[in-house]
Amino acid sequence: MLKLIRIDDRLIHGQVAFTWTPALNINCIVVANDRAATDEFLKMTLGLAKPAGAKLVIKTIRETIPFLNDARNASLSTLVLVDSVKDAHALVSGVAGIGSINFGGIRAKQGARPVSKAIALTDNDLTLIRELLEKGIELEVRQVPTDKKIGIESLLS
Amino acid sequence: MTKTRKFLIVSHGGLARGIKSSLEMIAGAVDGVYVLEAYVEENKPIEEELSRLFAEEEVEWVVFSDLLGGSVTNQAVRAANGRAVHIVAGFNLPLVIEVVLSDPGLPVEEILGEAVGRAKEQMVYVNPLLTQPDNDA
Repeated sequence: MLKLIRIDDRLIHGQVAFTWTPALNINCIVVANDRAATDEFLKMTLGLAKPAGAKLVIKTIRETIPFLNDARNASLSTLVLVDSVKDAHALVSGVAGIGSINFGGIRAKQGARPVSKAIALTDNDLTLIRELLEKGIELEVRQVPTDKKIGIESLLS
Repeated sequence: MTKTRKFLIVSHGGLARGIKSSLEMIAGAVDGVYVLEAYVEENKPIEEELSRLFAEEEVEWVVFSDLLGGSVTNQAVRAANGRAVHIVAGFNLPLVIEVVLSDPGLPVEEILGEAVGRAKEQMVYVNPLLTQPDNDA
């Protein structure tokens, strides 16, 4: 079962390993990221960061879609990590039944405006977010599971 | 030529300066101990700052990072790639004290190999040890 799709440009880090994974009983972490899937050193650091009780799958966005649609993987309790709104949008387009996306962290970069402490968005991100909202996808901002969900729409003026 | 050994304590938030303060209280003033605290004021990456430090040619860095799997350690591992940098994640005060006070003439691999084992033994649940003294002996 797909428990959470999280946008977090740190991919696996403390909040993911120590709060989300135990809170949701995750036993499979999918890092859906084209760069990670093709960079052996990055793969190694992700393996180092992985919580002990979960298996780690690192795939390109294109490979992630059939993996998540495959009924044989439905018994896994899965957390999917992407590092951008664009990649989350791509998963929503390709994977059946995604109703919600967690915004964990997108750090400031050129061309992005902060909308909260942890999230900075570009104009392109905003366009994709509006499309997702129009499809009825819940877009909620939480760093850790015990935070109160904040709808991203309430942060956009 | 031999490199100068320097120490860097990195943490999420204020732990790094705190542990340095504790270190100095116990060991006195120490040279070559630096701190880097991530995300204190701004939620921005520290990887560039780490890369800049690790680029010093004449330095052999020993890095204490707070949490294996945390973004601070992850960034240190990436910045250290190919450089003379040794990283220990999940540090505690006994480890930092022992390593900082160790003989700079010994190889760092040897120091860390032994100190990490001893530092682990320092984390102890104390209550079960508080048994009555054995009077039979």
